[in-house]
Amino acid sequence: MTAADLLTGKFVRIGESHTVAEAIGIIFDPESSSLREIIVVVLAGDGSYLGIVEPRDILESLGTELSLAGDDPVAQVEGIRRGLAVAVSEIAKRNIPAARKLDNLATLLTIAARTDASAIPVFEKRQFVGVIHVTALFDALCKATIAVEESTLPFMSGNPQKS
Amino acid sequence: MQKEKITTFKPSSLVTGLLRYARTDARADLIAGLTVAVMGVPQAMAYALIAGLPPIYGLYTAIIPTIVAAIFGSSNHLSTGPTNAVCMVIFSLTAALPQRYGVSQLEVVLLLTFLAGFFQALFGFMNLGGVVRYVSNSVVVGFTAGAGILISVNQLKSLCGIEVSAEPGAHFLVTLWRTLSHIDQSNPYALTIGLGTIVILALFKKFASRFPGQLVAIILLSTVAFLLGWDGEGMGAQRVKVVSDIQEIKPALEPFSIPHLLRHPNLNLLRDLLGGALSLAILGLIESTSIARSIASSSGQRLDFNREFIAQGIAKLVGSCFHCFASSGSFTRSAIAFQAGGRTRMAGCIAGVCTGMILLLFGPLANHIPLGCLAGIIVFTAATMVKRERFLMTWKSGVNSRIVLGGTLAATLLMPLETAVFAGVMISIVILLRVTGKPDLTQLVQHPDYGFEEVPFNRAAPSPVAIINIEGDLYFAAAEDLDYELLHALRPETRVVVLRMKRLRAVGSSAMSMLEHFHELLHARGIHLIVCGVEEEMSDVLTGSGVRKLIGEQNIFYADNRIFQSTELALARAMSIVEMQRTRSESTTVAAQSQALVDITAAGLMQRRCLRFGAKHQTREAMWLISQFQQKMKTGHPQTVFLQDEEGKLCGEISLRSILKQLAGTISDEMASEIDDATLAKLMEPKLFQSILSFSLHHPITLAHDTPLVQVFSRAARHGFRPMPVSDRHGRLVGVFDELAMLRGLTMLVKTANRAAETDLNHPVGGDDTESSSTSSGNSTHHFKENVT
Repeated sequence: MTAADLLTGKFVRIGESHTVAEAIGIIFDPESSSLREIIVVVLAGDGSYLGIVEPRDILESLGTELSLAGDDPVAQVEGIRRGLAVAVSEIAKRNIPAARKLDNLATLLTIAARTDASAIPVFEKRQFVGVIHVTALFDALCKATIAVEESTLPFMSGNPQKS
Repeated sequence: MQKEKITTFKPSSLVTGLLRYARTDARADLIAGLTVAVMGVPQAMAYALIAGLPPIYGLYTAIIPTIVAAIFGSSNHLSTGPTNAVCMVIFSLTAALPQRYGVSQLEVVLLLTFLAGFFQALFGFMNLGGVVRYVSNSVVVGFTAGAGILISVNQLKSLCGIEVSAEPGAHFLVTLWRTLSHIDQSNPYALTIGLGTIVILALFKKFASRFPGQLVAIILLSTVAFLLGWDGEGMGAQRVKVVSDIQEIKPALEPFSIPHLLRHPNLNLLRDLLGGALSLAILGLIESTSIARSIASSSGQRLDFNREFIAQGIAKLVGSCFHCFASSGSFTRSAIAFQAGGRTRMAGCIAGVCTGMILLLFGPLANHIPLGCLAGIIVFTAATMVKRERFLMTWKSGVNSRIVLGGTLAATLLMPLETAVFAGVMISIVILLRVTGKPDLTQLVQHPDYGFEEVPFNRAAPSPVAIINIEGDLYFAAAEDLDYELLHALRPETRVVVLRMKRLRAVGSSAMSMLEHFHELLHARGIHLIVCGVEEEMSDVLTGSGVRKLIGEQNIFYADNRIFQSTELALARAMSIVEMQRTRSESTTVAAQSQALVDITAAGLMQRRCLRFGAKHQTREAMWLISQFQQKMKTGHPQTVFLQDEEGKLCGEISLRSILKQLAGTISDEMASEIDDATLAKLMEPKLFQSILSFSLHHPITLAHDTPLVQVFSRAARHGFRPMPVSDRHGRLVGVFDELAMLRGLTMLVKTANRAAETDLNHPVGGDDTESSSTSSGNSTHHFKENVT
């Protein structure tokens, strides 16, 4: 199994100049909820990949604004409002290790282990072609382990693929 | 090239074998054979009387079939010859036929013997040796006891020396009544001899069981009767009848001759005998194999029952051509052969030859044996047929054994004897079907110290999860009404039923239909069904019948080599369902209250659908659960698995990322690009089989369900906005406050603040309405500020 088998083009795209408030709006958009994972990919003006924004990035950003506001409630609200107005390009994770389209499962696992992001960007010839959700990688690992178990034992307990 | 080994017969090897036999076993076999012959001669003559034949035919039967069965048989100690039960059946089958067809009884008996032998040999050649296992011990004991009673009653008249004019084959109660009604006409001399025989046999049995008591009794009492002239014509009506009065014994064997009725068959007679012959064949086989098996259990010999069947059949086929009636394995003589030290089947051959020599040398003397003496032997052996200990043991072995024993005994006494065994077998089968028609149901209760505890069905303490263990056959009869039976395990608090089906056999369409209906019954009650312990065969049936889809793959757990593993998984799943339902019902109330109070708490925003798992499982199981959960629930984010103890209390958490990091630790970056998926899986294997606890964070940051949102944020910020489990006041997991919930809470706060600001702008001055609005907005603002703070 390679990155090509796992990557998906189904993710939320957002321009670098959009705000965090808009990103939140997209995250809670009913259309987004049909996606398996909510990954917001921030694209540059020329459509190239810039980074990834996840709910936790937004929370950390807002949390920073709150802590800067101190104990003043009014300042806190203002801080949140300020945080919501920040451009997503400012909070996007830009240094996520990337994968190539032909990388194997083991390589993808080592890449995923080096980041806390929920997705890995995939490139082919320096072109951004999609992302691999860590859940997809996780499923692939499950299938690989089950395949090995099935090859050694005729009938395994708790084997979801057995039919 | 390997040379083929060719075995050729060498006369020298035969001689060597014989010499070896002569050196090692011949002496022991000679003693055993001679002992059996001496003990068996009186019995053989007496049993012929039971069959309604002159004693000489008993002697013939103790010679030819004994030798033939020993040659072809498999048991080293089984002694074949006349037996009282078989003789009783012969009499029952043939008594009325000579009169009906105008032939001699001997001819009918020989035809019957040939047919029985044919059936037995056929069974052997058809490899039906295992069929005897379907005849239970209770049937054999019941039949033997019944036959003993019949033999005793039938011989009572001979014992008393009474002439009773009963039609042949009359019911034993008729015979008994007529004997008792003529008891005043008893011949005192015949009675003395008969009772004397019984006394002598009883004394020998008690004090010298290894000595031939029957022979001693015959010699002693025949001599007394002869010397006192009791068998003389001068005694008149009181004369004691002797063997020669029935048919004189000549010191010769009958020459080979095919039975007359085989050469000139009578089809009607043949049709009348076929059923009885089959019955006699089966009875003979049961008797022979059970005796052989009984002795083999002491000798340690491994038996070939098919060969034994063939040997018994050939013995009868050959015997019928030498005027022998149907023979069978004799327990008494076989036990004597074994106790006397017999080592090989040659002991049986020697016994037959010795009996022949006794006939040739002492045959004429046997003519003087009083019939009362033989009657005494019969009555005594018939009485000992009913083994008290064996009878009591069978009787005390449960109600089913009692029914079979009593049923067979009653059938033996009341029905034609040839059908009694079949009746007993039928009763056994009906009981077997009744027992197997109801699979064993028990309930399992999880115990914190020693896994699962098995309790009687319907006796488990009320619990939201009812684990029912089904064992046994689930064929069409067993599946009938089982669904309604299973409902008895339900209690008002039951929310999930786990069916453990590990030890089920014969699962077919009826079972699937039952399962489908049970699922419907539960569904109508709002109860979930989970099945576990599913073996491969059951899995195929579930798939083929479509029940797998109905129940849902997530609710099916497969059997593994570790006991109760699938049950543990099923229980974890059941607990998840229960918790989910409980949370849902509680959350309705909580949400309503929160709305009413305009007070947002952790419970109001948390994600109620979360992954929980028993803490005792392996990592591979957790991986599967996470993968399944994310696929089925279409969750929007990588999930955290919360680990629960047996009471459902939180004891750890494990995230998808932490599992990935642990697994990645098994490979280096350099080697990663070189290994394929299978190698990767093998490298990860040691980690997969580790306990899930080794990957988990043991002390998760837990929120109480009524924690105000403001506190939630402060705690989340301190812990890097990690998902936080939410527990109820009992410490049970009720949901998770994940990143999305936090984000949603923040936006709610902002919206509330915005609305408050708008309200302040629209209603700047006080008044009734304004005051009211102001108060309301003030509350909201205060609440917001409090939350933000």
